[in-house]
Amino acid sequence: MRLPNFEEPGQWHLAHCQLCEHRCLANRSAGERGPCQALTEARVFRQRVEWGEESELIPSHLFYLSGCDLRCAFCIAEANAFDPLRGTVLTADFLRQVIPKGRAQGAKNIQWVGGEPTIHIPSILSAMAGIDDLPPVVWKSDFYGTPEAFELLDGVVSVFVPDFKFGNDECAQRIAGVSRYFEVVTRNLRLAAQQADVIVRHLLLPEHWDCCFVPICEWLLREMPTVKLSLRDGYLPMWQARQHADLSQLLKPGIGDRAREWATQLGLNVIR
Amino acid sequence: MKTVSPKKRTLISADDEAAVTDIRIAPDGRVFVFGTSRPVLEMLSDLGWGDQAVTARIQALQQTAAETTQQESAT
Repeated sequence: MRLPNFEEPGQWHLAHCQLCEHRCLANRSAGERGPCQALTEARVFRQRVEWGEESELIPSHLFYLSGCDLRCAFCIAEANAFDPLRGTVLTADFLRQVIPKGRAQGAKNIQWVGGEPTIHIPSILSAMAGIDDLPPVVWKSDFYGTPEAFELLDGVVSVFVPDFKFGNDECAQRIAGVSRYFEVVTRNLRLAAQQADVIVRHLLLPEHWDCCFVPICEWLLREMPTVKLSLRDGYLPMWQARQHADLSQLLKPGIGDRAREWATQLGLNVIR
Repeated sequence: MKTVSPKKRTLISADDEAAVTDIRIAPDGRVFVFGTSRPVLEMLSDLGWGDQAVTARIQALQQTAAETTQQESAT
Protein backbone atom coordinates (compact mmCIF):
# COMPACT_ATOMS: atom_id res chain seq x y z
CA MET A 1 0.00 0.00 0.00
CA ARG A 2 1.38 3.43 -0.92
CA LEU A 3 0.56 6.20 1.47
CA PRO A 4 -0.67 9.59 0.31
CA ASN A 5 2.15 12.03 -0.26
CA PHE A 6 2.09 14.07 2.91
CA GLU A 7 4.95 16.38 3.81
CA GLU A 8 6.43 14.13 6.45
CA PRO A 9 6.36 10.34 6.67
CA GLY A 10 3.48 8.94 8.64
CA GLN A 11 1.56 12.18 9.11
CA TRP A 12 -1.39 10.74 7.19
CA HIS A 13 -1.97 8.33 10.07
CA LEU A 14 -2.56 11.17 12.47
CA ALA A 15 -5.78 11.87 10.60
CA HIS A 16 -6.81 8.24 9.91
CA CYS A 17 -4.74 6.15 12.27
CA GLN A 18 -3.83 2.69 11.06
CA LEU A 19 -0.46 2.40 12.73
CA CYS A 20 -1.47 -0.62 14.81
CA GLU A 21 -3.80 -3.50 14.06
CA HIS A 22 -6.64 -1.95 16.02
CA ARG A 23 -6.98 0.17 12.84
CA CYS A 24 -9.17 2.59 14.77
CA LEU A 25 -9.02 5.32 12.07
CA ALA A 26 -8.97 7.95 14.83
CA ASN A 27 -8.38 11.49 13.67
CA ARG A 28 -5.74 12.17 16.29
CA SER A 29 -5.05 15.61 14.80
CA ALA A 30 -8.64 16.56 15.63
CA GLY A 31 -8.44 15.24 19.18
CA GLU A 32 -9.94 11.80 18.59
CA ARG A 33 -8.43 8.99 20.59
CA GLY A 34 -8.26 5.33 19.73
CA PRO A 35 -7.50 2.44 22.11
CA CYS A 36 -3.99 3.79 22.74
CA GLN A 37 -5.38 7.19 23.78
CA ALA A 38 -2.52 8.94 21.96
CA LEU A 39 -2.96 12.28 20.24
CA THR A 40 -0.34 13.76 17.91
CA GLU A 41 2.50 14.38 20.33
CA ALA A 42 4.81 11.65 21.56
CA ARG A 43 6.12 12.04 25.08
CA VAL A 44 9.24 10.58 26.67
CA PHE A 45 8.65 9.60 30.28
CA ARG A 46 12.18 8.29 30.82
CA GLN A 47 15.44 8.34 28.91
CA ARG A 48 18.75 6.92 30.02
CA VAL A 49 21.71 4.81 28.99
CA GLU A 50 21.15 1.23 30.10
CA TRP A 51 23.33 -1.86 30.44
CA GLY A 52 20.65 -4.48 30.96
CA GLU A 53 19.78 -5.04 27.31
CA GLU A 54 21.19 -7.85 25.21
CA SER A 55 25.01 -7.81 25.22
CA GLU A 56 25.32 -6.81 21.58
CA LEU A 57 23.12 -3.75 22.12
CA ILE A 58 24.72 -2.26 25.22
CA PRO A 59 25.32 0.42 26.18
CA SER A 60 22.03 1.55 24.70
CA HIS A 61 20.30 4.92 25.08
CA LEU A 62 16.66 4.07 25.74
CA PHE A 63 13.76 6.44 25.15
CA TYR A 64 10.58 5.34 26.91
CA LEU A 65 7.47 6.70 25.24
CA SER A 66 4.17 6.87 27.08
CA GLY A 67 1.07 5.38 25.45
CA CYS A 68 0.48 1.83 24.25
CA ASP A 69 -1.86 -0.10 21.96
CA LEU A 70 -1.86 -3.14 24.23
CA ARG A 71 -3.02 -3.49 27.82
CA CYS A 72 -0.87 -6.31 29.14
CA ALA A 73 -2.03 -7.05 32.67
CA PHE A 74 1.55 -7.58 33.87
CA CYS A 75 3.01 -4.38 32.37
CA ILE A 76 6.03 -3.31 34.40
CA ALA A 77 5.73 0.30 33.23
CA GLU A 78 2.19 0.41 34.61
CA ALA A 79 0.51 3.83 34.35
CA ASN A 80 3.45 5.39 32.49
CA ALA A 81 2.84 3.01 29.63
CA PHE A 82 -0.84 3.73 29.28
CA ASP A 83 -1.13 7.47 29.79
CA PRO A 84 0.25 9.14 26.64
CA LEU A 85 0.22 12.55 28.32
CA ARG A 86 3.08 11.66 30.65
CA GLY A 87 6.58 12.91 29.94
CA THR A 88 8.49 15.44 27.89
CA VAL A 89 7.27 16.19 24.37
CA LEU A 90 9.51 14.52 21.81
CA THR A 91 11.06 17.02 19.42
CA ALA A 92 14.25 17.32 17.40
CA ASP A 93 15.49 19.93 19.89
CA PHE A 94 14.97 17.47 22.74
CA LEU A 95 16.94 14.79 20.90
CA ARG A 96 19.70 17.27 20.08
CA GLN A 97 20.10 17.92 23.80
CA VAL A 98 20.11 14.35 25.09
CA ILE A 99 21.72 12.23 22.35
CA PRO A 100 25.19 13.76 22.93
CA LYS A 101 24.82 13.01 26.65
CA GLY A 102 24.07 9.39 25.87
CA ARG A 103 26.94 9.22 23.45
CA ALA A 104 29.26 10.63 26.13
CA GLN A 105 28.25 7.71 28.34
CA GLY A 106 29.23 5.30 25.59
CA ALA A 107 25.82 4.60 24.07
CA LYS A 108 26.26 3.00 20.67
CA ASN A 109 22.62 3.26 19.61
CA ILE A 110 19.33 4.88 20.50
CA GLN A 111 16.47 2.58 21.33
CA TRP A 112 12.77 3.39 21.12
CA VAL A 113 10.69 1.57 23.72
CA GLY A 114 7.37 2.11 25.42
CA GLY A 115 4.69 1.95 26.08
CA GLU A 116 4.80 1.30 22.39
CA PRO A 117 6.77 3.36 19.85
CA THR A 118 4.72 2.22 16.84
CA ILE A 119 1.80 4.48 17.74
CA HIS A 120 4.24 7.42 17.69
CA ILE A 121 6.03 6.73 14.41
CA PRO A 122 5.16 10.12 12.85
CA SER A 123 6.60 12.04 15.81
CA ILE A 124 9.67 9.82 16.08
CA LEU A 125 10.50 10.11 12.39
CA SER A 126 9.96 13.85 12.50
CA ALA A 127 12.23 14.28 15.53
CA MET A 128 14.96 12.03 14.15
CA ALA A 129 14.88 13.84 10.80
CA GLY A 130 16.23 16.89 12.56
CA ILE A 131 19.34 15.11 13.87
CA ASP A 132 22.67 15.06 12.06
CA ASP A 133 24.81 12.00 12.70
CA LEU A 134 21.94 9.95 14.11
CA PRO A 135 23.14 6.82 15.98
CA PRO A 136 21.87 3.42 14.83
CA VAL A 137 18.21 2.96 15.73
CA VAL A 138 16.90 0.01 17.77
CA TRP A 139 13.14 -0.53 17.71
CA LYS A 140 11.73 -2.43 20.70
CA SER A 141 8.09 -3.14 19.99
CA ASP A 142 5.10 -5.33 20.76
CA PHE A 143 4.93 -5.94 16.99
CA TYR A 144 1.21 -5.32 16.81
CA GLY A 145 1.77 -2.70 14.12
CA THR A 146 0.38 -2.72 10.59
CA PRO A 147 2.40 -3.40 7.43
CA GLU A 148 1.94 0.30 6.65
CA ALA A 149 3.72 1.15 9.90
CA PHE A 150 6.59 -1.18 9.10
CA GLU A 151 6.87 0.36 5.66
CA LEU A 152 7.56 3.69 7.35
CA LEU A 153 10.40 2.12 9.31
CA ASP A 154 12.09 0.53 6.31
CA GLY A 155 15.63 1.88 6.06
CA VAL A 156 15.32 3.67 9.39
CA VAL A 157 15.75 0.85 11.89
CA SER A 158 19.01 -1.09 12.33
CA VAL A 159 17.77 -3.65 14.85
CA PHE A 160 14.22 -4.71 15.65
CA VAL A 161 13.57 -6.15 19.12
CA PRO A 162 10.10 -7.67 18.90
CA ASP A 163 8.54 -8.57 22.20
CA PHE A 164 6.92 -11.90 21.32
CA LYS A 165 4.68 -12.20 24.37
CA PHE A 166 2.11 -14.89 23.67
CA GLY A 167 2.11 -18.19 21.79
CA ASN A 168 -1.61 -18.19 21.04
CA ASP A 169 -4.57 -15.86 20.59
CA GLU A 170 -6.44 -16.93 23.72
CA CYS A 171 -3.70 -15.82 26.11
CA ALA A 172 -3.24 -12.58 24.15
CA GLN A 173 -6.94 -11.77 24.30
CA ARG A 174 -7.29 -12.58 27.99
CA ILE A 175 -4.10 -10.89 29.19
CA ALA A 176 -3.50 -8.06 26.69
CA GLY A 177 -6.95 -7.51 25.19
CA VAL A 178 -5.99 -7.96 21.55
CA SER A 179 -7.30 -10.22 18.82
CA ARG A 180 -5.49 -12.04 15.98
CA TYR A 181 -2.28 -11.68 17.99
CA PHE A 182 -0.31 -14.64 16.70
CA GLU A 183 -1.14 -13.98 13.06
CA VAL A 184 -0.21 -10.29 13.32
CA VAL A 185 3.04 -10.73 15.21
CA THR A 186 4.34 -13.55 13.04
CA ARG A 187 3.50 -11.60 9.88
CA ASN A 188 5.43 -8.63 11.26
CA LEU A 189 8.38 -10.78 12.22
CA ARG A 190 8.70 -11.81 8.58
CA LEU A 191 8.44 -8.17 7.48
CA ALA A 192 11.03 -6.98 9.97
CA ALA A 193 13.49 -9.70 9.01
CA GLN A 194 13.46 -8.34 5.46
CA GLN A 195 14.34 -4.87 6.72
CA ALA A 196 16.92 -5.22 9.49
CA ASP A 197 18.55 -7.41 12.10
CA VAL A 198 16.06 -8.98 14.54
CA ILE A 199 16.39 -10.04 18.17
CA VAL A 200 13.22 -11.79 19.32
CA ARG A 201 12.58 -11.25 22.98
CA HIS A 202 10.25 -13.42 25.07
CA LEU A 203 9.44 -12.75 28.70
CA LEU A 204 8.71 -16.06 30.36
CA LEU A 205 5.38 -15.97 32.17
CA PRO A 206 4.41 -18.24 35.07
CA GLU A 207 2.36 -21.23 33.92
CA HIS A 208 2.71 -20.27 30.24
CA TRP A 209 5.38 -22.78 29.25
CA ASP A 210 3.18 -25.05 27.15
CA CYS A 211 0.78 -22.46 25.77
CA CYS A 212 3.19 -19.61 25.00
CA PHE A 213 6.90 -20.42 25.35
CA VAL A 214 6.85 -23.73 23.47
CA PRO A 215 4.65 -22.57 20.52
CA ILE A 216 6.82 -19.46 20.09
CA CYS A 217 9.98 -21.55 19.98
CA GLU A 218 8.44 -24.05 17.61
CA TRP A 219 7.27 -21.28 15.26
CA LEU A 220 10.70 -19.67 15.28
CA LEU A 221 12.38 -22.99 14.59
CA ARG A 222 10.05 -23.59 11.67
CA GLU A 223 9.98 -20.09 10.15
CA MET A 224 13.06 -18.18 11.38
CA PRO A 225 15.50 -20.83 12.60
CA THR A 226 18.57 -18.59 12.73
CA VAL A 227 16.97 -15.58 14.40
CA LYS A 228 18.46 -14.45 17.69
CA LEU A 229 16.26 -15.31 20.68
CA SER A 230 16.56 -13.58 24.03
CA LEU A 231 14.66 -15.24 26.87
CA ARG A 232 13.92 -12.99 29.82
CA ASP A 233 13.14 -14.36 33.26
CA GLY A 234 12.60 -11.18 35.27
CA TYR A 235 8.83 -11.48 35.48
CA LEU A 236 7.16 -9.66 38.35
CA PRO A 237 3.39 -9.53 38.95
CA MET A 238 2.96 -5.80 38.31
CA TRP A 239 -0.02 -3.59 37.46
CA GLN A 240 -3.14 -5.77 37.13
CA ALA A 241 -1.37 -9.12 37.11
CA ARG A 242 -2.91 -10.12 40.41
CA GLN A 243 -6.32 -10.20 38.76
CA HIS A 244 -5.10 -13.36 37.00
CA ALA A 245 -4.28 -16.42 39.08
CA ASP A 246 -1.54 -17.57 36.74
CA LEU A 247 0.15 -14.16 36.66
CA SER A 248 0.00 -13.55 40.42
CA GLN A 249 3.12 -15.54 41.13
CA LEU A 250 6.83 -15.34 40.43
CA LEU A 251 8.52 -17.69 38.02
CA LYS A 252 9.89 -20.80 39.64
CA PRO A 253 13.61 -20.53 40.40
CA GLY A 254 15.76 -21.84 37.57
CA ILE A 255 13.05 -21.66 34.94
CA GLY A 256 15.02 -19.16 32.86
CA ASP A 257 18.06 -21.41 32.59
CA ARG A 258 15.80 -24.37 31.88
CA ALA A 259 14.07 -22.45 29.08
CA ARG A 260 17.35 -21.31 27.53
CA GLU A 261 18.68 -24.87 27.66
CA TRP A 262 15.48 -26.26 26.13
CA ALA A 263 15.44 -23.70 23.30
CA THR A 264 19.12 -24.24 22.59
CA GLN A 265 18.64 -27.99 22.40
CA LEU A 266 15.73 -27.40 20.06
CA GLY A 267 18.20 -25.68 17.75
CA LEU A 268 17.45 -22.01 18.32
CA ASN A 269 20.04 -19.26 18.46
CA VAL A 270 19.66 -18.21 22.10
CA ILE A 271 21.57 -15.09 23.10
CA ARG A 272 21.98 -13.11 26.31
CA MET B 1 36.29 -12.05 38.30
CA LYS B 2 38.10 -8.85 37.32
CA THR B 3 36.33 -5.84 38.71
CA VAL B 4 36.27 -2.23 37.69
CA SER B 5 38.26 0.06 39.96
CA PRO B 6 36.05 2.47 41.90
CA LYS B 7 38.46 5.23 40.87
CA LYS B 8 37.40 4.76 37.27
CA ARG B 9 33.70 4.67 37.97
CA THR B 10 31.49 6.80 35.84
CA LEU B 11 30.07 9.79 37.62
CA ILE B 12 26.69 10.77 36.29
CA SER B 13 24.57 13.58 37.54
CA ALA B 14 21.26 12.68 39.09
CA ASP B 15 19.43 15.22 36.97
CA ASP B 16 16.66 12.82 36.11
CA GLU B 17 14.92 10.89 38.86
CA ALA B 18 13.41 8.62 36.27
CA ALA B 19 16.88 7.26 35.55
CA VAL B 20 17.00 5.47 38.89
CA THR B 21 17.69 1.74 38.62
CA ASP B 22 14.93 -0.34 40.14
CA ILE B 23 16.07 -3.27 42.32
CA ARG B 24 13.48 -5.62 43.78
CA ILE B 25 14.15 -8.55 46.06
CA ALA B 26 11.73 -11.45 46.07
CA PRO B 27 10.85 -13.22 49.35
CA ASP B 28 13.00 -16.16 48.32
CA GLY B 29 16.06 -13.92 47.86
CA ARG B 30 16.06 -13.55 44.12
CA VAL B 31 17.10 -10.08 43.04
CA PHE B 32 15.53 -8.34 40.04
CA VAL B 33 17.33 -5.38 38.50
CA PHE B 34 15.59 -3.14 35.97
CA GLY B 35 17.10 -0.28 34.03
CA THR B 36 20.70 -1.09 34.89
CA SER B 37 22.96 1.95 34.76
CA ARG B 38 26.73 1.70 34.37
CA PRO B 39 27.47 2.49 38.04
CA VAL B 40 24.98 -0.17 39.13
CA LEU B 41 26.61 -2.69 36.82
CA GLU B 42 30.00 -1.73 38.25
CA MET B 43 28.62 -2.24 41.74
CA LEU B 44 27.32 -5.69 40.79
CA SER B 45 30.74 -6.47 39.39
CA ASP B 46 32.40 -5.42 42.65
CA LEU B 47 30.02 -7.71 44.51
CA GLY B 48 31.22 -10.64 42.42
CA TRP B 49 27.77 -11.29 41.04
CA GLY B 50 27.60 -14.84 39.71
CA ASP B 51 24.58 -14.62 37.42
CA GLN B 52 25.45 -15.39 33.79
CA ALA B 53 23.33 -12.55 32.45
CA VAL B 54 25.16 -10.03 34.60
CA THR B 55 28.55 -11.56 33.80
CA ALA B 56 27.94 -11.13 30.07
CA ARG B 57 27.12 -7.46 30.58
CA ILE B 58 30.12 -6.87 32.81
CA GLN B 59 32.29 -8.26 30.05
CA ALA B 60 30.69 -5.79 27.65
CA LEU B 61 31.36 -3.04 30.17
CA GLN B 62 35.02 -3.97 30.42
CA GLN B 63 35.28 -4.06 26.65
CA THR B 64 33.72 -0.60 26.38
CA ALA B 65 36.05 0.70 29.08
CA ALA B 66 39.06 -0.68 27.19
CA GLU B 67 37.86 0.90 23.93
CA THR B 68 37.34 4.24 25.66
CA THR B 69 40.87 4.10 27.08
CA GLN B 70 42.27 3.34 23.63
CA GLN B 71 40.37 6.26 22.11
CA GLU B 72 41.58 8.60 24.85
CA SER B 73 45.16 7.45 24.29
CA ALA B 74 44.84 8.00 20.55
CA THR B 75 43.70 11.56 21.03
